[in-house]
Formats: sequence, C-alpha cells, structure tokens
Amino acid sequence: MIHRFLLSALIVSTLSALPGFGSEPSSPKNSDTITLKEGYVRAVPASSENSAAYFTILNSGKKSVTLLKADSSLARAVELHEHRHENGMMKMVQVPSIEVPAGESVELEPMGLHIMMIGLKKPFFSAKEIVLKLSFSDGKSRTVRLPVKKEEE
Amino acid sequence: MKLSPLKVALGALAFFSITTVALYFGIEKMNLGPKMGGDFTLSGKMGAVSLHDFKGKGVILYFGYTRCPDVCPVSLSRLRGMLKSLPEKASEKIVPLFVSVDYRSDTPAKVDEYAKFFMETAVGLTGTKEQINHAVSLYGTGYQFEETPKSAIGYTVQHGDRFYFINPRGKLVSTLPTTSPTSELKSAIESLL
Repeated sequence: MIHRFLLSALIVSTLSALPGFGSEPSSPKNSDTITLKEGYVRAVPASSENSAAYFTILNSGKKSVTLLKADSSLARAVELHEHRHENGMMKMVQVPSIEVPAGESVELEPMGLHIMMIGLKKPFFSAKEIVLKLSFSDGKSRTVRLPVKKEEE
Repeated sequence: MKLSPLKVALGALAFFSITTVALYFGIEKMNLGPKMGGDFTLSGKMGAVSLHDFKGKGVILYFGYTRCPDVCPVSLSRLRGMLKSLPEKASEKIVPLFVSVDYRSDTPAKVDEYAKFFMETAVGLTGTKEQINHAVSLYGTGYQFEETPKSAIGYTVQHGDRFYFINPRGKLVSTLPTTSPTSELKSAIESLL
C-alpha cells in the first residue's frame, strides 16, 4: 500500500517537474484534470512583430477552470485574443480570460480564440519550440511546449 | 413643399437603414458592380508598382497587414496550398498580391518579405493613406484602425477578408471570402488561367 502511494507520488512529482504537456492525456496516473494538447505556434517572417499560439484545453475535472494568463520569455507581452467576424470585416479583440467548463474542452484555433505573442524577441525566429507558462483560476500554473510551424492547407 | 421635422427624421432613418443594410450585404455578399476593380498604384520595395504592371498574369489580390497575427497568415497559407496544387506552368501565370493597409507601421520591404514568406511568387505592396484608400475603394472594401490601449499590441486594423481575382487583362472577374470552400476558390483561380 505504502509502496503504491510512494510510486504514484513519485510519478506525479516527476510529471509536474517535466516541461511541456505534463503527461500523456490518456495517462490514468495523471492527477491533473487539465490537459493541454495539439498545439503549435505559427512560424512568421523575421520582420514580424507578432505571432499566435494554438492548442486545446481539456478540463476533465468537476469544476470550471479559467485560463487567466500566458507568459513567454520570447515575447514582450502575451495576451489572450479572439477574432470576430463582424459586417464582413475581421476584427481582433482582447479577451480577459478563457473559461473551460467542467468536462469540456476549448480549442484555441486560427480565426478564433488564440494566444497572441506580441513584440517577438530575436530568439523566437530561430526557435523550434516555444514554452508558454499558463496561469489558471485553480491557482496552478502549467507549462506547454509547442512546436513552431508554418501552416499548410 | 414644406418638410415637417417628422418627415425629415423618417427620411433620415430610412436612408440610414437602407445604407446600413446595403453596406452590410454589400460587404457580406458582394456582387460585382460594373465599376468595381481597376488600376491602382502603390509602393513596392523597388519603387512604384501599379496593377497594370502585372498584365499578362492573373492576380489574386488580398488586403491585410503584416502585424495581423491570425487572419492574414491563415488566408495566405490557404492560398499557398491551392496554388501549390496547380501544375507548375499554371502557377507561374498567377501573382498573389498582398496589399498592406497599415500605412502606419508597414514599409514596402517589410510587406514584400511578409508576402514572400508565404509564397515565393507573391508581391507585397503598401502606400500612403491616399493610395491605400484609393485601392481599397476601387475594390469595394475598407479598413479601420482601432486603438487598443489595454493591449500591448497598441492598435489593430480591421480589414476585409476576401480574395479578388483579376484576369491577365487587369479586369476584376470575381471575389470570394477567404473562408470559401476550396472548390470555389480553386475554380476562381483556374478562371484566371
């Protein structure tokens, strides 16, 4: 019994120390009810000031959890934004937070909700991966490691 | 004839509603007016560039801006995908033309680099406020700067999200939202060949 407890404690602490997605979404040992998956950051030309990050937030818990903030060392500011299509024009608006209701998932995707990376710093353009630190309403912060890629249709 | 204030108000209201509805549908479901399209001159990285400089090639025109973090890259990536699927000979006959409406931040060199990041064959242009307004009004679209004091981005630019298909003689033949089904966009591209 003690053995099992120690083992799971060890797994949990190892996983939470790991950067990136924390653990496999399917892992039953994962005590975290928030899973971050299927993400990327858009590759942009070196003259660009901004880029965007996308991923899916899955909340398998019983309480709604809200993404409050995102941070990266490779951008001057990181904000939560949304695109809206109004009167035939595309409009971008900042949103204060992104709520993920219990048992649901929210997709951050092109033309919708996204993480805006503003004022990209030089190392961004040669980076293959971007680490974002995300702060949630449950008081926990989680990191997500996203590949930088060019989109293909 | 004397106009009562009520009649004036009603008239104004009617005019306003009709204009609003016309503007809304005009932008949403644009039918090509006989006068839509035409030549314009803007700045490229090597100097002045006019639409007529591309005569002999089909042009796919798109209005955006380089600080646009989401919509423009998605639209341009989509266009790249579709042009890639054409035979090489055919894609050489088409020039994707990216026009930045952000005269506040964009320079011709920056816009051109941005456009070529998505498609090597693309050309990026921008211009003065007057030049941009002229080009935008020719194609029945618009743009609007919006200050965002709470955001580090400073300002954003609302813009239309359409492709304009211009044939090798410089005539606008169709326009579609960039989110149109691939089959519709492909046949619009093929109509330029």
